[in-house]
Amino acid sequence: MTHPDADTLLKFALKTLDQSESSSVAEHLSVCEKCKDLQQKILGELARLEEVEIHIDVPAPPGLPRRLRLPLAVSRWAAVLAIGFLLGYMTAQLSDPVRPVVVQQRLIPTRAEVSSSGFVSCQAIDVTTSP
Amino acid sequence: MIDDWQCLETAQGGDEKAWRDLFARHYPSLVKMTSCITGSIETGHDLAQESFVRLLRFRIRHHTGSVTSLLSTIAYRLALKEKHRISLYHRPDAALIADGSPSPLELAIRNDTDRIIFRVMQSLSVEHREILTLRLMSGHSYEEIARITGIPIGTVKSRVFYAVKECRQMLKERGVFK
Ligand SMILES: [Zn+2]
Repeated sequence: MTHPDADTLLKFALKTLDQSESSSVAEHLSVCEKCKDLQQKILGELARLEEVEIHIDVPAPPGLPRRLRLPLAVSRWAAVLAIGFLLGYMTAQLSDPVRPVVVQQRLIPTRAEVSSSGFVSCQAIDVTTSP
Repeated sequence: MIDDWQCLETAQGGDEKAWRDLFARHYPSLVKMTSCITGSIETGHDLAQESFVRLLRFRIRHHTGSVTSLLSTIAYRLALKEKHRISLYHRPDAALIADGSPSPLELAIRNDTDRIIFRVMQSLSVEHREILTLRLMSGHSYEEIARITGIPIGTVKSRVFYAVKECRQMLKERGVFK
């Protein structure tokens, strides 16, 4: 009698074998105590994996939308947008219009002094222009 | 008990009680799924709540599949989006492993052996962990998982197999399984 290998028994327990493989394993299990025990052990382990309990506090469900109101999610987005616009408007009113300041950085060689390693030493200067 | 689809239709018509029943029936397992996939119980709650908001607005055309499956599909897509967003700036799992202290999600697991099993499951690759979560935590069939994730059923089956095989091996090493 050839016993199904461990992987086949696991696949059988997981019900991932195709019809013909599955029925030949089932047939074997009906006559082989050793494999039947192994199968029981696998099923017990699978059940244990499913039993992991996570404690969940169930909150209140999201409210049902009223007939004359926009659906909850829509009204929520509308509120977010409205607040966004209001904040944007207030910010624009409170602060002075900012004039752009152009900052450029140029690398200008001080002296075209090439060192023995071949580097040219340069000095960075900021050229900042305000309108 | 009224059938889930009927319950949803009644709730969409404005019936508070039907809505509360449906929520109580499916929220706990949904939040477990979203928490396990995102690695955060807080995010899990946000996504599960958002899934119910979307379920309420869902236009029912036919009653194929189950409401559980529909909820899982909505939640799974939201979870993937969220996970992508989070991964853009930090990785909760990496932080968890780095300082070794239990995450709020782990603290929600009261039983010590459960926590070992959970940690083992969380240590799997993302692909394996997600499919295993849908199979074991949510109890979806292979066909349902294929529909929820858009992954071919053969791949779903093989991922469940390798995920369980790896878990059993690690749990043997940790003395949980004989
Ligand atoms: Zn045998």
